[in-house]
Amino acid sequence: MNDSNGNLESFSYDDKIVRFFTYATLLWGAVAMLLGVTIAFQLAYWKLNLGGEWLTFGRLRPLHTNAAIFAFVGNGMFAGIYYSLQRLCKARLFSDALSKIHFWGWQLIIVAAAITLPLGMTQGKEYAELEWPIDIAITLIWVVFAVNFFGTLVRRRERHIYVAIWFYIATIITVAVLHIVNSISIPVDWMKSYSVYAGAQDALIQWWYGHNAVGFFLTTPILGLMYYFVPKAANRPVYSYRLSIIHFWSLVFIYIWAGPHHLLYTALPEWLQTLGMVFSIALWAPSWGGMINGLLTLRGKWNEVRTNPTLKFLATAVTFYGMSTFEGPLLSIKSINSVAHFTDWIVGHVHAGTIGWNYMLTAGMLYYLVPKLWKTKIYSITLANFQFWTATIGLVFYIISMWIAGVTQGMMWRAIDPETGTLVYPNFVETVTQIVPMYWVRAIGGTLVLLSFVVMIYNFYKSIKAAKKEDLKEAVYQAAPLTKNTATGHRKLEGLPMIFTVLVLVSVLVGTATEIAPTFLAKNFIPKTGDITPYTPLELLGRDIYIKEGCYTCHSQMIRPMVSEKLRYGKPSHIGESVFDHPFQWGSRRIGPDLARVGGKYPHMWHYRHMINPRHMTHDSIMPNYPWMTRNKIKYEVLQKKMKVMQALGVPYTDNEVENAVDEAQGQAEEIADVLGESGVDEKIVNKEIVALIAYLQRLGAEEIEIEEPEEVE
Amino acid sequence: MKKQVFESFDLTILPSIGMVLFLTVFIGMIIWVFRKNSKEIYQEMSQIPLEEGNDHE
Repeated sequence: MNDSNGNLESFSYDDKIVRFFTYATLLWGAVAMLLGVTIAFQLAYWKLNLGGEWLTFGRLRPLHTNAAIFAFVGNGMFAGIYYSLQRLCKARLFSDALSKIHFWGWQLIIVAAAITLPLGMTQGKEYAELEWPIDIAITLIWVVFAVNFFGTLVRRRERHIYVAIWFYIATIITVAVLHIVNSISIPVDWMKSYSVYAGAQDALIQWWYGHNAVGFFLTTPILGLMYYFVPKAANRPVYSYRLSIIHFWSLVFIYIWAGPHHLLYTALPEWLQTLGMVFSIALWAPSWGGMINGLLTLRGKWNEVRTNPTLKFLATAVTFYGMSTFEGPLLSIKSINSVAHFTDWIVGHVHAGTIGWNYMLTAGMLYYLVPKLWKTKIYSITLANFQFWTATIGLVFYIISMWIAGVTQGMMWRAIDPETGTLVYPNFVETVTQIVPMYWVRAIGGTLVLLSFVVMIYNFYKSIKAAKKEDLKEAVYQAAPLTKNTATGHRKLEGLPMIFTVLVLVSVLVGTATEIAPTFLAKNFIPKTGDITPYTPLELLGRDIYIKEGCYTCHSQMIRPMVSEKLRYGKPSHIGESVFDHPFQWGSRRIGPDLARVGGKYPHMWHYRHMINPRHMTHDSIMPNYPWMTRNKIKYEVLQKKMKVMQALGVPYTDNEVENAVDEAQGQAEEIADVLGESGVDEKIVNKEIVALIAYLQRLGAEEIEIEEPEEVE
Repeated sequence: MKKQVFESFDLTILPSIGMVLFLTVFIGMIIWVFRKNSKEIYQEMSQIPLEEGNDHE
């Protein structure tokens, strides 16, 4: 508006790095979906675990989630952010070198994840499985991204900071806080570490992380992309800019607070629970405000939605955003949660978000970007339409099968015969057999989604191939630089990104502190337990095998205070029972039964045969075989180091116990091997992994603890 | 000393304070976006993505 004459500066955009991130998005998207389809079929047909150590469901599932979130959505987000940021700032990215380091660093992290996770190197915390050296690498690359981002912002030639950039800033700040706080651990060696948090505290921090990773890695950056690419593709401004600001602040202020509050449920006073519920429901309004804002931007353009693949994918993505943000708060209502928790309903909900929202929006964005970045045309609109329908139908198969599976299993778990007062389905496996057909439907739905993605890759391959390389010269633009006096009065908030960033950080930290501080400060947050003893050295080693195999991806260790759970699993879990669990293993999904009190339930020999082939003990089990546990040796050489780390974390091992740990562990192993030997097992089993695992499983919940009620605070 | 102080009061008050704080800020933000002149500013800002690079006229 003002001073547009005179001192114009010429500049160009770095689109090469956007092309790089586009390639990576396509590659890792296909890999993530292929992994998803693989593990979906493994659940439908257990033999597809292939009997190998590295390809079981427990090891591939973390790889699938990490690949989908950080590799596929991550690269797509970087492509979109780098493309839009330059144009919204009228400035080239801060440093071409930093962009390259960011790109290659991120790809190396993904490759490291793809190698370490199948090898069983894991911290055992969902969506944060990667071990500490990779965690540090993620932090460093994230800092590179942040420097590159804020550097560009500082050099911008546009006074205002468009709302999309607000969403990007919130992403960078919050993901950094979440990742660092949740990943703090003490290393045992290069690829093994223990979380500094234990039990209930670890659970609280992990789900504060987990929920907000969805909020700030899969939602806010993508919303930023929506606020850029929907207006761009529709060639008209967003329906209501004011609504987009309300949308933004609601997410930043409420998300971080509402995420983990259900874990605090019992510790909160009654009136606060009610207010918390009101707040969760209040989240519906801004989320739907965002959806309506996106869709209304397309008003008068709906005829184009039918023919333009960009608009078609974007409109569908926004619709699924609305659906997921409706379902999420619904699932956090206590009565609904009691049925849905631990079932496939949650899995269906997550995929409605990741496929319906993230994949669809990324596809829409790429259909816009590819012609721009390579100066070409989309090879085939027919193929794009085919892709759209394949993906949509696949996703509908996925969601509906998971709804049916989730509700069916949830109802079967809690069914009690009113006359006898016993469980109608006392064998857990009955509730699994019932939903296996739904696993097939889900796997087919997932295959359709994968197929659609491959079609898109082919479509882009043909489009890019038709492009002329010499056309890829960078265009030159001209704009006036910012002068100091352009930011005045009420525009200061938008005009000062650093202050804005600090505000976001404060809001996130205040929300975090108010929730998590009590667990550190209050003496009676975790009531004192009678005399719960730490794991024996052998049990500790067994626990690490449990974590390595990803047992938590299918088994919970958390008995909820409900009649049906009491009947099935025993006394409800008490938070005092996991005070020495670094990390906690409460789990989030019961594909198999809860294990919190499995100790002493079966003889050693049962576990031995069950691990070799679960179908020996439970005919219809879908669990993989773990024959290598009878071959792999127990790693005694790291035992003392492990116990010393535990000591440092506050587990009351005496120096004497650490000193004699190996003897102690071998002694316990011999006892177990002797019992197995009575049933004819070769005595060479004594130094094999399976013995340590049995020691751990037999310990779970077997120790009768007396719980002191917390003192009433006046 | 600090520990005793923390132990002496019920820390569940902390989330309550946080909740009230957030609610206040949230309502404040709603009032703020409806301030005078905001409409014109927002109209101007919503045009930014539609420019590709050159300064607007």
